[in-house]
Amino acid sequence: MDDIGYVIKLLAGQRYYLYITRDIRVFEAQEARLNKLKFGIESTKNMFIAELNEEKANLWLAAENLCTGIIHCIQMFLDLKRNKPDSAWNRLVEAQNHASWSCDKNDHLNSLPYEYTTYFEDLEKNLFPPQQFNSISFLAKTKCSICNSPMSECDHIRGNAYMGRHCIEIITEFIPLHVAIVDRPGDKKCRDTHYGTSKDKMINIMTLVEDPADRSAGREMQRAGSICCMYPQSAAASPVGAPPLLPGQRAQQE
Amino acid sequence: MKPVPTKAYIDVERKADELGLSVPDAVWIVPTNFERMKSVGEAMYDADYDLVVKLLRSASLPYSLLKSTNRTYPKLVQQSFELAALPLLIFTRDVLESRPEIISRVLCILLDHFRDRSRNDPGKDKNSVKCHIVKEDEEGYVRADYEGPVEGLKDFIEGLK
Repeated sequence: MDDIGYVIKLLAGQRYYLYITRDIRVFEAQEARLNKLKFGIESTKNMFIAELNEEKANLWLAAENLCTGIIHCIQMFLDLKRNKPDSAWNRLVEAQNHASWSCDKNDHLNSLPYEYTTYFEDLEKNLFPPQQFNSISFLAKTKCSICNSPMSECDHIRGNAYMGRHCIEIITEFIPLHVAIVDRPGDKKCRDTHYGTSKDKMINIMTLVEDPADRSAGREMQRAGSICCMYPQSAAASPVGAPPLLPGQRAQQE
Repeated sequence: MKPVPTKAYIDVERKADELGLSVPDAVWIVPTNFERMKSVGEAMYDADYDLVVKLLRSASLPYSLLKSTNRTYPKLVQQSFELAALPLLIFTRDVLESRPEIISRVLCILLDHFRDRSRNDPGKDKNSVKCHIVKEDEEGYVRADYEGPVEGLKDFIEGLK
């Protein structure tokens, strides 16, 4: 597989499936097809990396990110169908992140990344209730993921692609300062997940009901306050080529 | 073009003296807490200071961090959605006299970078850039702050001229 035009066409055609009304079996079948496609894209990217063809390696990295974003979107629909809205939210955020990372400055994938990014933003507004986000503030020293030098010493720009890999900052020293409630967080997965009106009841903000899984987790969290929030590990959803969480996102802890 | 509002800033040379530093003949990239610092050990840079270093270096513009040594500084990272949190940039009268165009050149380089970075972002209208400039004029040092969309930086540049 080395015809990028064919891959762009396949990825563009996926929009047809990305509606909540599609049957769960259709989503599962598309997920399997896209995983195969992603494997092919990754192999092609690795071939260009081996040939030291940076332009092509970066182009296929962009395609890989877009494909991964669409897979996450399908998984979001699957989670919604399976009544797992919290997990669905995390999938959507991953879809948004990967689609934005697929936007390269040369517009190799035409307007496709922008179209998907916009669509995934719209899904957030139309499928989920408004969320209350959290943002952490910290002091850090960081190094470059491409060359391991301190970030101010090398010439790699965070977020740019270099030979099929995105440059990210890796935290080498970390001092937490505070947590704030914000409208536009760096990581949309950092959000309030529950609220509580008594010691025995933790209500899921997505479903507005208490469910057994929430009950035990909620009690633990409630000790810290009446509203709970979730800070997922950024590394748990490691992006293709490890692009930045940025602009809002800054770095991944080593 | 409306002039950018400025406010009085501390005497940079005196402050540098207190800290045992000398003001460089270059764009001085200083910590966000420069005014309050009692020693160099307290230095705390804004999150994207290293990005500014890289962009100025690639454009062959003269710059200097707090000290000329190769030391790395801790940076303050806020996980809210800012396109960039730029460090405090000081332009002394000497620098401005020898390179009168330097403020607009530096800001244009930053503007180009962020315009390119946010080009495909559907939320680009909501993204903000924070930028702090200190320049020395006849009256002393004055500070101008900008916080807003990338495109607004253009007016900020014009107003600072």
